[in-house]
Amino acid sequence: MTKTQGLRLAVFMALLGIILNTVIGVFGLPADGGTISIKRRFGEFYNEPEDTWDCVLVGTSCVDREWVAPMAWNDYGMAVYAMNTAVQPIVFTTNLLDEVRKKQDVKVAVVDIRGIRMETLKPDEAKFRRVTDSMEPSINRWKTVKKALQYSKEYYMRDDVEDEPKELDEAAMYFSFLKYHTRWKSGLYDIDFLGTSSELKGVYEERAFDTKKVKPTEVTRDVQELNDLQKSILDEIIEYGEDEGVEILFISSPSQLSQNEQIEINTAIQYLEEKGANAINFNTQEKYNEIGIDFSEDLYDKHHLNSRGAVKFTKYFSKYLYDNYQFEDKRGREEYQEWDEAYRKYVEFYEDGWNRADK
Amino acid sequence: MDFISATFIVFVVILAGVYFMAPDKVKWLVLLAGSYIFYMASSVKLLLFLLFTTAVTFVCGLALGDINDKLSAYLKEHKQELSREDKKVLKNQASRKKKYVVAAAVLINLGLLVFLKYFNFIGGNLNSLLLRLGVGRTIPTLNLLLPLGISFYTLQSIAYIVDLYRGKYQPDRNFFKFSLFMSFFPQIIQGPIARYDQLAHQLYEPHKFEYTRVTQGVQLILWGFMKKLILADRLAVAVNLIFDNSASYEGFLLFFAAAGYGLQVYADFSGGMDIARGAAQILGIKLELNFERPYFATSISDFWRRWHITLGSWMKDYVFYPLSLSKAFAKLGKRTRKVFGNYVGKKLPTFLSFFIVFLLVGVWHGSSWKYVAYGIWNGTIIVSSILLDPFYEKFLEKCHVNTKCFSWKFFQMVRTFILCSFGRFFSRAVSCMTAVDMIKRTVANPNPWVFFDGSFLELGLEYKDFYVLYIAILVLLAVGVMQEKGIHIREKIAEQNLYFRWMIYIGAVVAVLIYGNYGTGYAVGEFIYQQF
Repeated sequence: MTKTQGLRLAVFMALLGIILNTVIGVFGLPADGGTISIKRRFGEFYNEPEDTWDCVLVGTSCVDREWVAPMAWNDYGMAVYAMNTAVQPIVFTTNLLDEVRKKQDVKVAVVDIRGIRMETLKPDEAKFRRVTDSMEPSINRWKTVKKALQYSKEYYMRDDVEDEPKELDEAAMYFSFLKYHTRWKSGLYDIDFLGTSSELKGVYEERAFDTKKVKPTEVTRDVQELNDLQKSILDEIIEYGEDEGVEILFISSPSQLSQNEQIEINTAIQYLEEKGANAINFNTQEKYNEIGIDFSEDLYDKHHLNSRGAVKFTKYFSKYLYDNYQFEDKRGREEYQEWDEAYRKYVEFYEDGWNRADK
Repeated sequence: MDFISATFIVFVVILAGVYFMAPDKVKWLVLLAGSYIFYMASSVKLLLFLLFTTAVTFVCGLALGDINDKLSAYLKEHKQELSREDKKVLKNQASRKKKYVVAAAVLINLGLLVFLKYFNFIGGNLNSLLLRLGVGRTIPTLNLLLPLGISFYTLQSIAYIVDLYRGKYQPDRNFFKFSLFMSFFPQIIQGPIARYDQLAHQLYEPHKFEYTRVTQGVQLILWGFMKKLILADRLAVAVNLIFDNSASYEGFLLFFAAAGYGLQVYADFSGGMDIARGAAQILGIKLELNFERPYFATSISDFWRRWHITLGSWMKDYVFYPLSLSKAFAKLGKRTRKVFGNYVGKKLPTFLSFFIVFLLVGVWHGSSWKYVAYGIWNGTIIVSSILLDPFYEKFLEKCHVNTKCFSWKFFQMVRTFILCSFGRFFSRAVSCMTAVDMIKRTVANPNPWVFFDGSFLELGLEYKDFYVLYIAILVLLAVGVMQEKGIHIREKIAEQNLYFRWMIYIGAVVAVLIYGNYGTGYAVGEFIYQQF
């Protein structure tokens, strides 16, 4: 091989690599339905300037529905971002925190524990994929997929699980292109080509102005026993916080919960408290009253707050964070101009949204 | 190790790297090690069968060589003393000995193939017969494993032995080198069936890295991937659905399945060959062509000259000619001349040989009556076309049909395609009887409305899949037309501007990645001929 040929080959391979990387990027997690907000949120996360966040919220879909990051910024100068996904497997919490901490040196993490219920612990490829396919290729992503596969196998080997095991497509879990390359048939969106990010610092937009009158939660204080799987997951998160020097605050996001759901959540909160972890159950009558949750107008379905409810919750919870964690007030700093802009846009978004909804 | 896998690509890259970096003396050893690793990646246990066939063929080859050498030496030494008659006697004695050796090698190697591939089929049919005759005893069904590529390497070994018998070349005296000839990884699984004098010396000679050759090899592999993943495996979705539920379909849809299967097999098998030839080309080894655009054939015999060429030429050299030129067939010809006249009598040995060849070709594909029927179908068409040729010629002449124009050639191509497609019913249907039933229902219930009522969209393929199929077939057709005109595509592409070339290569890679049928929800089909 001559020098020219070698050089030509190198240039060709580099070009091929760039094109393939672009193609693989386009054929990713589809940006439709519930995943569009996830794509937007993760897109923003990877674009955020490094080490600018104070705190991160992780958990299921209720997290971004209840958290208005620009408001907390405007009120207290804290940069707190929601990195949730729909029905986020709680087993991924530590992996997701690892992913966040690669870019953001957060010292506090808020973990929503709705995912600890046995019903939501059931392995599901779509739930896994919302997390793993949103992550950029990295060792952490590889580890997260490996964990998902291992978890899935172990889950179905449990004595208390009677469901037939659902096989995960292992290769496609690692290399998502294997699954998504057929998306040329179902349709691609402009967002697949152009990419996306949130201008509102991860605020949930799609159904923020819908309202559904929901029956208030019939609060119960009952508890039962957590099983070893639930305990091991919570233990892992607690240990992670201790080992990595991240203060973990467990919360149960406010929404309408059934008696059974509450019992599982109550038990988890009790377990966490026994372990000395910080935990807040927002599904008590006392908390509903303090936040001011009105089940007739603050939710868009029984599990999710609308933007009116989100504003109430954010007002309450951001004050709690400000009072209990020493986040520096960074308002007015040049590198946080985006946050100021996000607040301005959020106000517009909120007012326009409700004006339209009220009409 | 599947050709269509990341493992295979990595394997070829590593092997090529090691091969080109290794000293010339040991290059062939690298190929041998690589070939055995490749084989063992599929099965370690079944490697024993390959080793056994290699050993038997090698030893018999040496025996044949020794007989030849001893005879030559004796004749040379006693040149003056021996009369012509003595020499003839000695030669006959040697020939007889050689025949025993050939018979032993063929019996052992072919016997192993027949036993592993056909024992249960033969046993099953004998059991049915015994049952009808009221005999209580039955032949047991054995759980036999079919070693990968046995149908291919057995034929290769027989060709080697017979060629040695014919004195075409000297036997290989290095067992390890011979093992490489028998196991060379690109062609062990599905051919092409190599001849010793074409392949062995290429394997043993060291080859240097040549940029152009390597890139052309990679292009050929990419072309193979395109054929297999974009065309063959996409067609397979509809074809499998119809053949596996044939009772639910009628008329044109059944014909579509048969024709589609033909196209699928072509894209699948020739795609596999392209990958094999491309991998070999990277290493500096040229494998024989196995396909020459069979769907441009103007008759069934022309089709078989273009389809699976190395099997056809093997059958011609080791079955057809030995049979048709044998004394027994010559005698038969003479006798039948008296009964059926000169024309039939003269042609009968050829007809019979053709028939036997196609029967064997059919049976070679698998142990089922449907393959017997497939062979009979092809044999019958070829024999009848030869038999009717004079009448046909006269008919065309009387009707003033211009046979020199394109439209006539096109008609012949379409006719051949249709005949071949009907033959595919036998090779793909679940059973011989199902194939007959499908043919009946294809002819009896033509339903042209299926082209308009969306029936094709209920075959597991979306309309966008059909677009991809149309484009893939058009590309294949365009390439075929150019090749028919003697244009060497890869050389033609190499003459183009760098940017245009790169656009083609990158476009091809992207097309395979996006439009290939693989990944979640698809199982990349095993190469069809790999199963034979």
